[in-house]
Amino acid sequence: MDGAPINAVNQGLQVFQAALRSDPRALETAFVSLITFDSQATQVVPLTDISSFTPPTLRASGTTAFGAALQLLEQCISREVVRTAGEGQKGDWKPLVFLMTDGQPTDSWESAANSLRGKGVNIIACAAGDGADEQMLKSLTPTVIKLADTNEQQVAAFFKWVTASAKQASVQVGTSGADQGIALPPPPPNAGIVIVP
Amino acid sequence: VQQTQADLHFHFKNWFSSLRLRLIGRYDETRRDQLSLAPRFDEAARVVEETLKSRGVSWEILALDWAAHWGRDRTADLAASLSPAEAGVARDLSRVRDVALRGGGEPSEPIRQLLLLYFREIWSAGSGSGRDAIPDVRRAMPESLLDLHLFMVHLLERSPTCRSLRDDLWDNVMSKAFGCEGVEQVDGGSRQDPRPTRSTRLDLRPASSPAWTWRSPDPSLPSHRQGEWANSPDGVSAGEDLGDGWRFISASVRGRGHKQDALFCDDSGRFLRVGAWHVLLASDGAGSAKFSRVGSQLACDAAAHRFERELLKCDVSGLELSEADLKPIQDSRGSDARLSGVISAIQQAFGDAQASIADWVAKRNHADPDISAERSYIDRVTRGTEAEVRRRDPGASQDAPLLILDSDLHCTLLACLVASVPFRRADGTTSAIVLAVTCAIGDGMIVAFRQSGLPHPALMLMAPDTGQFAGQTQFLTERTAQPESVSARVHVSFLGAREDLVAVIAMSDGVADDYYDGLVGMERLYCDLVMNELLRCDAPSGDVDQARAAAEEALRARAANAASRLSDLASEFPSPLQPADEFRKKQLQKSLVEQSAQRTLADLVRQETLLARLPDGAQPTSVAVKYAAIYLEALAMKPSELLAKPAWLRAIAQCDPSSATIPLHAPDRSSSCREAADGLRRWMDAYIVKGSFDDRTMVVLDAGAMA
Repeated sequence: MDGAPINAVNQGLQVFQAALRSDPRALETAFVSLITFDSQATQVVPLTDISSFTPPTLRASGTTAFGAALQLLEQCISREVVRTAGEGQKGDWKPLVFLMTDGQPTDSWESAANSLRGKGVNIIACAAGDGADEQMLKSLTPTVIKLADTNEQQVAAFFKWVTASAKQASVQVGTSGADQGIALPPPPPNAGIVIVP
Repeated sequence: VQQTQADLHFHFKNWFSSLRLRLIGRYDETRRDQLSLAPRFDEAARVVEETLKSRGVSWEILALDWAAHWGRDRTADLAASLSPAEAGVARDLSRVRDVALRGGGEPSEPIRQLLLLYFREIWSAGSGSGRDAIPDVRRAMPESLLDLHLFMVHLLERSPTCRSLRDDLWDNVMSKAFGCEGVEQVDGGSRQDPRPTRSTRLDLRPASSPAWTWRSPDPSLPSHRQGEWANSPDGVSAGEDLGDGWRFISASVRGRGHKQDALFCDDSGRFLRVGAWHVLLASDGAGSAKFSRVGSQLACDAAAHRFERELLKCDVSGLELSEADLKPIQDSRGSDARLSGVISAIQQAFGDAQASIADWVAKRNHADPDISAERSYIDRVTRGTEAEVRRRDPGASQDAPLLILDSDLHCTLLACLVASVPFRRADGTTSAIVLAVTCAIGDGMIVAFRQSGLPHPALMLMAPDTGQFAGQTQFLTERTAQPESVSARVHVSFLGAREDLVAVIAMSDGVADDYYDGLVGMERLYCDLVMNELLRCDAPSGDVDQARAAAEEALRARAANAASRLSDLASEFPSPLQPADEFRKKQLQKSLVEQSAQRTLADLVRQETLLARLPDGAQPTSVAVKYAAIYLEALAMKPSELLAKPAWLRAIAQCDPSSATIPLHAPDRSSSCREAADGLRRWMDAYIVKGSFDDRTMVVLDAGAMA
């Protein structure tokens, strides 16, 4: 992904941040972290509350270290997300992961995916464009969506949908029973976004 | 030039993120190496310094503030008031400062430049049109500065002991720096931080903080909330005087989230007396379930109905227990034959609650003629997409009505049964001992408070079902809640002598989560209830004025101590000060010490906006809320330390904030139980905890009503 698509991703992040910051519920509950992966995986933004989160400018290049990204994701979650421990420590809300890729993994990822699956994390995977393998993503999480193209409009529509989902999730986490699975808003019609069955 | 700015920002971001990580206790060793700033700041710093000087502000004074909050000398105090993780963070930060102050080399630059950058930006954002521009600072603040600003605010907010100093610094240093007196604080939005309210202050927090709104419940949703809920959807309260010194008070309020989203309150609560038994019931409808408010009400009603019949058969007045009986009964968790009737009543009540929900669901799915009108109403408001209809019932035809599931009524159920039982003392005399039998499916809490337990009055009477993440719990409506699992959840406790009992409370997680810290959290809840005069506190008959004087003396001592430490740190500062600055600084310190000598308990009372609309259509109003958290911080005490001084608690309870605010509760303890319950409802509606916007329910057996 480069040029226009990555610009669209950067713009999408701005929209995401602005929308969550203007939502009083998200402002009090949402924390954001950002992991990028090309030839290697990097946590660009550590888990930060939404009022302090400023989207960085992402650049894209190189290969698709998908396995390394999953591994790093698992490490970050176990390090940064607090779990309930007895009466003294209240757990954080269950993490919601948006995973977006436009390429085929160039490293081995199966064991990292297996290990992540057991962690009870909600993952929403997005296969962007023809280069991405939605069936591979399907083995990671039941919730996979497909962007037909990675043009600016589609990426923008995707981020709008991600933002709506994140806002909805912050509504749901505010109530008991969030564990019953997060119901996602329907993707925008005619935007080239489809939910992979 | 743009590239340079971007780089600066990038470096700053790294440095900031690293510190922030430490602050929030999620400190990552690998980020240590990022604690350096680019030398390009120098040029900017020089310009800024000159500018600030021409304005009569020296960065040293501002840096003092930093030092006072995170200085090495404060580590011990901080460590005492912080959690272990936070104490580690504080140590790290003070090491950073040590290097910064003593190393004399590069590391002092980041701190200095950070402050310079901050004040330059704030200043340049607000300059140009003088004092009138100050309110615009927050709006004009560039995005890139928000982080820095929030970080500074965060630092200033963190320190428990420097609260007064911080306010004074804002008011003195900042107001002088910007030549303004401060601006009216805008209220009514979300509260990010609990701190004492002032009528005016220089509030530089970013204006992006969006406000919570109030919307009445959407009338197109099926309400099933009849009776008082129909007229008062924001909250209900009830009270009943039992005539023997005990009384029930209860309240449920719609959470901030449901007010924002135009939804109904999903909680229900009930109380009833059956013979010797006092029954408290609370149920929290899952926010994720369509009809959970129906579920919570059905559960409470069905359980109450069953207890009404069954508990009459469970006469415990004939039991005469001795000391030797207590432990076996408690340990038996209900299998003791003397409690078999009660246990079976509980099993039946929970079974009835489940059955009543299943029955409601079945009737609506099978078009019972009695409710066909309602069924079509439900269809109209719940009409699912075709996919949802199929997912619930794979065999359904395309236009079939949506199949309602038990999970649409997911709710918890907490039951607590309290009775006085005759007790034979070792010397042969008899008295009454309080027995509590509880059973709960879900989260929330049942707690008892006992006078003799002070300073640890709380006794938790249930173990909530929690998952590894927040919001995960069990529901009455799940398959796991079968009779055998119900009896496994029974807890039997003896609460001690009848006259010793202060209260037994069943609460939904909307309240319990705000006090989630084991017994310490429950002790803080007790402080809050007493401070806001919702529970009585029997202080040994001492002079409340005396207690107030002592508490205020302690407040002032803390503030003065912090002020003098600031002086110490000032003299420690290595940088040469201009004589004029030195004079200014001394003056500032003097005024800080003087001001700290005028602190009162009433200064710490907060004013909250009551969002609830009442049946009479009354507009939102402000009420005075006392937060134990604020007093504990200002006094640097743990809840148990404050509870060891009940007279202080009473002094706080009685301190009068100002004539402009409405107290939560009539100060007279002889007020009727209805008034008391309404006070409880107002408090639950008004108090604010960050990230807490669930519906709140409390059902209280107030045993302290007799003098």
